[in-house]
Amino acid sequence: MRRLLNLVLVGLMVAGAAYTFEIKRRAEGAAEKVVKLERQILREKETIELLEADVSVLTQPSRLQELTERHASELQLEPLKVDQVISLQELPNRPLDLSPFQKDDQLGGYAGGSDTNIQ
Amino acid sequence: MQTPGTIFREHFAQKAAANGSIEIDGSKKQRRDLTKTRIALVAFVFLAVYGLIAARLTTLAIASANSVEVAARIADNKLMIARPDLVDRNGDVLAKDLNTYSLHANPQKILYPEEALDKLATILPDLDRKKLLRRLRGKGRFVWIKRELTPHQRAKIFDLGIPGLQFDRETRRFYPGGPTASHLVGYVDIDNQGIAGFEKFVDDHWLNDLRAVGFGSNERMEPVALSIDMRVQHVVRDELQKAMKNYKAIAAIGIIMDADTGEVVAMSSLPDYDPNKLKETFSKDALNRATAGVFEMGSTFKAITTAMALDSGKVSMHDKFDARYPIKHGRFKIRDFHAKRRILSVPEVFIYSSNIGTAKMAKAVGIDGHKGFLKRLGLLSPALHELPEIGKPQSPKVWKTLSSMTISFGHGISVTPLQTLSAAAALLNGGKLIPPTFRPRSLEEANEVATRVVSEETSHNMRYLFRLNVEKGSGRRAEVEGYAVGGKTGTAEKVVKGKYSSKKKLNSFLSAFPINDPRYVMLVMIDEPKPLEGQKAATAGLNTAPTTAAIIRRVATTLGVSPRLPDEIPVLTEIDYRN
Repeated sequence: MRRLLNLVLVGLMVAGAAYTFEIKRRAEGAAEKVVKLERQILREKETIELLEADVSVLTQPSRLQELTERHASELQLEPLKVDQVISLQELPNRPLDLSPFQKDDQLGGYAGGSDTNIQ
Repeated sequence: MQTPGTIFREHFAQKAAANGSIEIDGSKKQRRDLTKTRIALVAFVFLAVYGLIAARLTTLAIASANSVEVAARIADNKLMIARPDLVDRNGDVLAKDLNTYSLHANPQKILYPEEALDKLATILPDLDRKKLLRRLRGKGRFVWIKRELTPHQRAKIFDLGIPGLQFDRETRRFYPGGPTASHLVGYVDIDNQGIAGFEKFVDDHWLNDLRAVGFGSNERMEPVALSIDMRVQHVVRDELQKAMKNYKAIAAIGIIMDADTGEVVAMSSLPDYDPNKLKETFSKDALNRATAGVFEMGSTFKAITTAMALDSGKVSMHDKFDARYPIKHGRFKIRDFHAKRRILSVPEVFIYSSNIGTAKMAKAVGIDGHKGFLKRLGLLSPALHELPEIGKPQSPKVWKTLSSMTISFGHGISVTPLQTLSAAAALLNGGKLIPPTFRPRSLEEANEVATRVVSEETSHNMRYLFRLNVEKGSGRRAEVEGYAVGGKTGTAEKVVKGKYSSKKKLNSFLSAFPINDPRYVMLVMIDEPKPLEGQKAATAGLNTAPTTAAIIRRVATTLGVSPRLPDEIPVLTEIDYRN
């Protein structure tokens, strides 16, 4: 009887030790993963900062002006003229929505074709 | 009371009695008892030692997981942002902290320098191989390989797995716009402390407080917005550069300000510098002429004098001044540059820029009135704004009749260009003086800090005069199709060796658009312009006015001022000004 109890206790102890070891090992693994992920997050953040700076450099008005001047003749770019600027109110009305009459629905056949919400 | 002696004696007496009288337990049993006690004692000691070891192991396990490792991890994962980003009014980046890495090596740990350099060259092709090879073979323990690497390059070098290499992380301030807004944004020193421009303002006003309490370096801070628009800023700088080249000038200044809120939308002072290059920032080009330089503004000051005279009620738009003869005062003579030699109406005095007429207007107001008006416009004390570079205006300590007369046409008083523009905005926006600012400000906020300096009516008359000057006067070259521009020229003679020089000029053009209800006011100045080929003179109407027109043509739509057909522009009340 007493021997059995001792055996059970020893068994429990060994199991307990093994379980604790396993948990600790897993916790360490998780901690390592956290560190790795945090490093990765940092690297991503750094990269984001760097890319933001890149965007800013690439969209500098001085750079854009240089590019437009260089490609002005190919792309036929001209400075905006005064009469090319109008306000929203000055735009002509949207064409009426006419559904195709006695014809198959055709792609791009009528101005404002499929949009029936706007009267 | 028992003494130790009695206790001792009693103890031995009992023992002797026990031994002598009754002998129940055998000597074997006695020995067994002793052994049991000894075993228990040994067991206890062993348990205690094992307990100690277990406790120590537990604390070690917990400590390594919690304090040491975590602390190291946190220290390593900071972004090391020391300053907030600076952005323009649209959120475009003006200044930014970037993490960079510096690569160094310990030659004693590098086994195969050639191989290491071959590998490194795949990522950093521009390394000086010979020099580095010599150093890596040397006996030193520290060799810089390359500074300011990007995080991406660092990761790649890391993956090469070369032993003996190490990285240092540094924070560097980066200005994507380079020189475009250099004077506004300012720059930082090698320790990332703001020492000029808006960067210094950021330091002085809250960064130092934050650092003192210990915040600031861990998290990315909210970006700080400036009132400037980088697109407009670029155009102003670009046009000023062209003007400097065309007119072979030594310096140029351009400022655009929102007439109703006092926000500076663009401000450029040429020559300037690239804030990314620390060396350049210490040259004399680093002077921000627009806020720190003080100048005799010349004829643009006539706008201020005229507004003062009209607002005082002592002069009306229909009054006339005799400009036939120069004014003599002691040994001084005040002459007109474009002399008409006749009696001029107030609008004529303005558009022909008559010194005689303007001086007479100032005389009508009187010395105290004149001084008081300039004081109200803030032209006698340093301007208040965020940039630390603030020029102190210079005016006579004691005002005499002559000083009042010369100041009426902008000589004998030196003020900063930004101050002048701010005063001009007050004359044209309906009469409210709003302190200039480099941070975004709403109309409500502006109205809270605004003070009335002239009446609505005076302001209306000033708009008319400014427009008239572009239609008929010296500002004709500032006209831009579709945008009603109003403006006043100024050609100030510079003081050379204590005398006014007729050759060296500081030209300016003060303008507003659309003039019927100005949204923006602008000041363009060109220092020592030379005449263009085929032109005899280099007056303001010939250089600053067309430069202003060029700027407005390019930025008006960006600023949300839509062009109008000529018949759509509201006409200001016409006054018959001709004699």
